[in-house]
Amino acid sequence: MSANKVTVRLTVNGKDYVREVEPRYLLADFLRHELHLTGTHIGCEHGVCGACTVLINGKTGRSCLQFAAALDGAEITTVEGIAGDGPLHPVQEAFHETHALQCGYCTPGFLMTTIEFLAQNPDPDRDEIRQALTNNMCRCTGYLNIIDAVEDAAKRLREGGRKA
Amino acid sequence: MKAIEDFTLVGKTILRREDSYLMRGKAQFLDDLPEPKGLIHIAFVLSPYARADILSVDASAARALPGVIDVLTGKDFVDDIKLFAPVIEIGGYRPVGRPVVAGDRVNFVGEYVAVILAESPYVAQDALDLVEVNYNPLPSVAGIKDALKPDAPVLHDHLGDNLIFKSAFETEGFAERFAEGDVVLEEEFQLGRVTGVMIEPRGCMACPDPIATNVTLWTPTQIPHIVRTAIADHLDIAESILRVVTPAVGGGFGTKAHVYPDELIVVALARRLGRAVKWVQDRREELLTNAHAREHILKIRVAAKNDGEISAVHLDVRTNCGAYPNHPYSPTLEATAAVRMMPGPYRIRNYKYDVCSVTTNTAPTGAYRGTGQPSAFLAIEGMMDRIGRRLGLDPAEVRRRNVIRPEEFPYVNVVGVRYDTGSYLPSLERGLEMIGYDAFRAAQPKDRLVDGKYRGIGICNYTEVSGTGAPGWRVRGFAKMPGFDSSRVVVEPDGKVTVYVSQADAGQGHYTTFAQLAADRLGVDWADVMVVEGDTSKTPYGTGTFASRGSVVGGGTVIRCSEKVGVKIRRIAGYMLNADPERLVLRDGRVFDPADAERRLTLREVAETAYSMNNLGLPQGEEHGLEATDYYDPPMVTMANGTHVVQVAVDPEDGRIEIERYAVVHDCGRVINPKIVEGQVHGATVQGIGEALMEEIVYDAEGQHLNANLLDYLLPTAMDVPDLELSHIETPSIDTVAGIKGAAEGGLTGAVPALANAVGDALSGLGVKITRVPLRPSYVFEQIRKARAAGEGRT
Amino acid sequence: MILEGDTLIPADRRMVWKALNDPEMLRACIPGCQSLERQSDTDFSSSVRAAIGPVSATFGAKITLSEIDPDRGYTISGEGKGGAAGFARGKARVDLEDEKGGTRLRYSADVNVGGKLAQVGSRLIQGTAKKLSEDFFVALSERLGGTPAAAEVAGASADAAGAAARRAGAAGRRLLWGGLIVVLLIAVAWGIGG
Repeated sequence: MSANKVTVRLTVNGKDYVREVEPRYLLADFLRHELHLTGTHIGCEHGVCGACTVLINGKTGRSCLQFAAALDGAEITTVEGIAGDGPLHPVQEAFHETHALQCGYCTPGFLMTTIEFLAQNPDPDRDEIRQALTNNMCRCTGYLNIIDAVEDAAKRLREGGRKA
Repeated sequence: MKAIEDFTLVGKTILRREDSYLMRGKAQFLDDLPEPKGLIHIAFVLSPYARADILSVDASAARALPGVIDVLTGKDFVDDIKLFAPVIEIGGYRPVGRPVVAGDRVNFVGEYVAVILAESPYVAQDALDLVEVNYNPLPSVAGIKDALKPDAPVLHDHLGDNLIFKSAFETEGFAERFAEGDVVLEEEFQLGRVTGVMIEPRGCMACPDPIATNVTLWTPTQIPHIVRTAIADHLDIAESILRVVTPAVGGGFGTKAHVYPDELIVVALARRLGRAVKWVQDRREELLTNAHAREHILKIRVAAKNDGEISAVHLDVRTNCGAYPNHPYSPTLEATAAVRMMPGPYRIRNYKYDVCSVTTNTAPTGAYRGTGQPSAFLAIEGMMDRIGRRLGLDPAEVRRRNVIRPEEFPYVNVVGVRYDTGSYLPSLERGLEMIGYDAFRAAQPKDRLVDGKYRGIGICNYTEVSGTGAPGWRVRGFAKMPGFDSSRVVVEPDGKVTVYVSQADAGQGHYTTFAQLAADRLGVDWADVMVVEGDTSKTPYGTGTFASRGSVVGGGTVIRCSEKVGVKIRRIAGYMLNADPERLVLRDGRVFDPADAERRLTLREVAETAYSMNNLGLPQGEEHGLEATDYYDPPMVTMANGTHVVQVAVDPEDGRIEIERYAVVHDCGRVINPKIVEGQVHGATVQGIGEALMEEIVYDAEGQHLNANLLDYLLPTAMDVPDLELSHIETPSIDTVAGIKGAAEGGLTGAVPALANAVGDALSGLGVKITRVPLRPSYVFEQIRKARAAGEGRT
Repeated sequence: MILEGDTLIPADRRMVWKALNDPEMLRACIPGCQSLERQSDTDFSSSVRAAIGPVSATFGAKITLSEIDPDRGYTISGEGKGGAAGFARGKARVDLEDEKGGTRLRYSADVNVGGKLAQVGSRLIQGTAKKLSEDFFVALSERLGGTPAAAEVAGASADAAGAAARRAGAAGRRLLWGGLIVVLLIAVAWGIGG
């Protein structure tokens, strides 16, 4: 089915793109194969694992469940947009220091969720953190170090006088 | 070999170099790799029937779709690819081969029936809907017990029945020893089928080399050399024209430690068509077709004395092979692991086992973290509790009476497995102490009801097989399992180091830990050591990363190889300094005699001599270059151990289980990088929580897979994980390099029995027996309801 | 799995029987039915379009009537194929009894669902089947002269067939079964990637 293509304009990590895509082209595939931003990963294609989580107009969303064409005009932030080539973001530093990633496949999704969460709740307790992370799945770490990482990141951000 | 005390980096938590590029999204997993021009995307038509004749395949509509290159069926592969079968030589195993794409019969839901070749993945998926396959459904069978019935459908005619593997063992005078017991207890345990569910699904890409008749296969595998050998065997091509490379791998857990038919198919197609061929599975296919595991039935009979000491054990294990034996392990892997490891940390000298594996119309089963051990310990640890209940003894005390004590090492268990060292009793004691066991028991009411919930404690004291060498594989029938791993350590002309290891990382931190080990032995900054893995063209041959072998065998070979290079470094430096090589020390990137520290060389200066980049020349008889290669075959196994003690509360209103406290004691011998070991323990324990409480692949009686999606196959999330209290013991092995033991699987082996026992203890006041996992709330609720009704005189 | 239930149709038993054997009546009452043609005295072929969420597909079914007890009941068996979406096979016994207010229709069905339908849709089948069967009974009752409110749809009880059948997921696979809908034709797709 080589459907008619539509024009879509997206701002991704601060850069504007104009592309012609099939209406059914997933946002995740657009980011990964059209823009070669492969940091966003696909784990299930049914919105459960959260590996594909990106920020869409500032809110986390599952890029595996959205059509690029339906988001014309939107601003997207992917994991590549967190630190670019510069120093790691405090959330990333926290993940590094607490060994909150092993294979790293789910990590971009966790980073996006954590950044949104800490912007809304800069001083969470561990149960609040668990609840915030419940929609991202990890099979390697068993979550405990990730919970530590979010706690640590919150502390870093508060002490640095910085919002997530 | 320098003594363990000389290690400076072993035992240090070094933060991982992998993290930065992983967190920036720069790591390239299979589907992230740049795609070659002219890439063909393939998709598989899957059988919806568990057993059927294929009457016809009409792909005309699919072929007519723009963007579809071709549609192939089973007959298009029979000339290129032999029947897919592992090489197993063990009494009682009967070989079965599998066509990579079904010919005229399908034997499980998800079996490949046709292959779509297309210009893009979306078109390939579209074409799947257009292939019309005409099936004649046949009677099928899914469960172990059903498959053993005399009138069960037989999957493979040449076997005559579904018994693909059957074996037995008995110690001398078993029956007499069994009769000497004062009490006999019997139970049947069942484990549900599970699978690894790594967050990255599988895929693979074969790229022909335009210059030579070479093919590079990119595949997220844990066993690159075994994959290469298997493909070369089955396609009848030379190994030297095939290169297998792992990209970044998103979790393995054993599921990615198999050779899969798609790997053979993409290589065959790439060679045939002269174009790169790529395939990526979605989550449904992942759950349907990647190696499943467990689905075991264990019948155990224990004869014990009145003081709790076990006289004899009879274990009957039945496993579900699925429709075909997996490659390379066949179903014998989990089956033999379960029976050989049941004795665990206990002094069980009279043992009889019967084990079999049964073909059914379900997906093939294989290896998954723990491999038979969660099953074995569900049984024996479950019996420890039952012995206690029967004899009025505390279950911890029963274990104490049977556990192998420190002075008994090295100990050879009743089936011939050597336990080199271990901390079975200290580990148990520490776990009990951490959870406050004695106080809990003292306060525990007979009916177990506290604040409206049933509360109990469960223990699992386990041994963990790790670092299996060739002898360990041969004795279990794995005729082509290399067992060794290898490394090549090169000091480059600039004085920095490259370490090539025959392993394949899937998140375990090899790029940091192996650098740590080489840097330690060579006295350099670990940041100056690069690790290369997962590439059969770059590293010497080896076995790969699974069965908790990475640190033992991979670590072992890197240490030995670095030592070998160190010898040559000292020789050349001795020549350059006119000093005795035996006295020279490698530290901080330098070589020097401590007694004459002013006269020293940088490693770079030594390398320049070795590479003939100065005027010095080499000593007489010395070869150029500054490297060594090492092949390390570890002993049969080395035995790690641990103890899980967990306290749960069971809510009778809905059957839900809450983990209130969880203590883990873990002994993996000499620890290389403590934070990484902790990560492995966390991850494995949480997978164990999943297997114990929520994970199960559900097939109906006919072999329809009912929950091939993540909404219905439940994985633990952050909300399901309690804070674990973790304590380490280091009891170095006396058989391995640097006393290292494996660390990766114990968490899972400990968690499943500990949780089952905890719930069993919590509900023991009601007379409920816990004999299966997963302990879904609906199952637990029903057990409570029935027990309460029976207790009140109603049924 | 075995599914059982019953419903009170506000019409005379003979009228109900006639309706249950009338391809045109059935076609009109089965939700999404595009065609239902009699091939012989006892064989029908049917095409039904069904949808879950934004995705729909068309399923072709072959239906056979047997063990016919005129005016009282029959056994209806069938197989529907939905291509890549999977298939459903089933057999139902349908019996009619006079009752105050109309006819009590009892059914007992044995259904197997396979392929993608079962793999990703097990949990959704219950809800969709309930809706489809309610729609069917309402339509049948309306056409036989009653009002929708008079059609009473009793709950179905599900009884897992065979020792090895187990429940999937939290919702189980209980189906409310519209007696004539042997084949539950549900196309399920997760995302567009398949």
